[in-house]
Amino acid sequence: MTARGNATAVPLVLLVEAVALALLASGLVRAWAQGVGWALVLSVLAYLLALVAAPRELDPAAPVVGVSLFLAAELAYWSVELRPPARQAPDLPLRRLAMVVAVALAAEVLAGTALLSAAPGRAASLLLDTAGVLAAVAAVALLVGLPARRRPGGGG
Amino acid sequence: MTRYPTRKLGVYTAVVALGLVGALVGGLPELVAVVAPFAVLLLAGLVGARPPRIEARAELDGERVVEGQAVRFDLELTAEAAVEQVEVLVGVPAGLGIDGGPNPTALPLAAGEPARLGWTVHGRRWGLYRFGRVWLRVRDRFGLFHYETLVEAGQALRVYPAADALKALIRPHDTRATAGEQVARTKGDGIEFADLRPFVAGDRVRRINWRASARRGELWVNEAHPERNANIVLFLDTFAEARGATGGTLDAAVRAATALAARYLGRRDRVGLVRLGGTLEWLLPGTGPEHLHRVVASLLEADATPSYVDKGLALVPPRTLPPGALVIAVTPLLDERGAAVLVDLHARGWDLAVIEVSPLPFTTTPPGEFGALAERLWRLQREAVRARYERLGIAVVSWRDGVALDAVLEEVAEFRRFARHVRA
Repeated sequence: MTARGNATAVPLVLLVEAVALALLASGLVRAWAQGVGWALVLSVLAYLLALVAAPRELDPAAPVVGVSLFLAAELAYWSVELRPPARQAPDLPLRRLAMVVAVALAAEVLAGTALLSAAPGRAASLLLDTAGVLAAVAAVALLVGLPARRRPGGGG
Repeated sequence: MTRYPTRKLGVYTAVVALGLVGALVGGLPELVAVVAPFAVLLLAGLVGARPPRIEARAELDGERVVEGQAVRFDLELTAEAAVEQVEVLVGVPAGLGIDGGPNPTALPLAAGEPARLGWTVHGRRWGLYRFGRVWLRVRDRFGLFHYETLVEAGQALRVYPAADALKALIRPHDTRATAGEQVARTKGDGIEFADLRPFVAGDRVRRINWRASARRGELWVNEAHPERNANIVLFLDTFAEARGATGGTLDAAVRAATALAARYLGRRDRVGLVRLGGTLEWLLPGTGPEHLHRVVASLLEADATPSYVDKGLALVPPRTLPPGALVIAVTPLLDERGAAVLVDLHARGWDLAVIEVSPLPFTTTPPGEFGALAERLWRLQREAVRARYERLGIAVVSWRDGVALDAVLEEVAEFRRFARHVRA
């Protein structure tokens, strides 16, 4: 969350963040993957609330916030997955860490491009707008279609 | 392998959708930057998802064990391409136990190199089991999907009841004409001394009792009881059972029936089996070691299936209950239908002995004043049933699992020695 939040929205944002933190802690302690998921969704929601309540100016820390959330989520899921007894390949942690870092770096580039293209004074790009709309539609469609493909009885 | 999305995929998709829709609706480009890492991971995971190919070979080192014994179960996994981690869960039916390694477990697989896992499977309760269902689960490297498959290497595992080796036996009233080890009540050629009688033409000289003849001044001969075999029918009442955490009446009944069958067949008697309950199963009387396997195999399938059908003796094929057979009923006396069949058996002239497998160790007193009262009434009802049997001259002895069956059989023999046979 950025520090530019509106004074009236700050308690609400703090409350949502506190709930997210509690869920994350509970998820980590009880190896409860759903807790981690809800914590992540609530954290993004808290950031959204902070942005809505704030004056109109671009937050340059957004890519850092995104990568931080991503790292936190990946590490939390990793922690939960490691709970059952398992024989791991010796290089598995390194490979996984490399994958996470690679995704984070690629995301930084993407996020920087998105912010730069939306910076004040830049002309609106039809191509970027179309890509954004398509990506949003694809994400919503995937989200709607997921429950039908989920394994009976949950899991994962 | 079947592909399923993980919860992580759902959460990341929700985050990306929330961010992108929020950015479009609210004009907040920062949200795109925030959800960009999740979108990149989703894209990479969806494009690069490939189902792994794993071959599994499972082997159970044995088909038969006795309760308490163990067999080895080995699993070999081979992957075409390297798999970071495959989770393995071996399905263990109730009645079996597994140790010697964690279950579930997980391990990495190198391309083309077989990985071996091994466990020890214990037979905890007698029964016929299908063992060897193994679930495999692989997560993709991004954690967005998992792939599952079920390896059906089902192999039959027979767990035989751990039966006592009996010394005592219930002696039947009637024996058959063929030779065996039961001392018949009739007189004839045999070893067991029965009586003395005066010599008649045709008697063998070696049967003359010279000491008695010298004392009486004329020839007297020994008479003997011949050694015969007998028809024994084991009657298992499976109408109902009492079950607790440590076992049940049916478990004990099957152990007792196995011990009795082994002992009687070892003495060259013919043993038959009737399982009457929710289902009716029977085995005609037979003899020999192979027949013991048939009896035990039939006992392994015993199950107290609930049924409301009023089954009686009329359903039992007549050849299963030969005339003069000794019927040994092993019953918890929990169901009126089973108790009535026993009275019917006695009334029709079969030689009957009842071993009551006590359900009391597997019951708890219901809470409250009325609970205690109900339990007292139930116990009184059971005593009334036993008293009715005793009035009819049927030996009925209560037995608890853990107590030597020999002692119970001695008690039955003692009762039958002095019992007065009364038709119902």
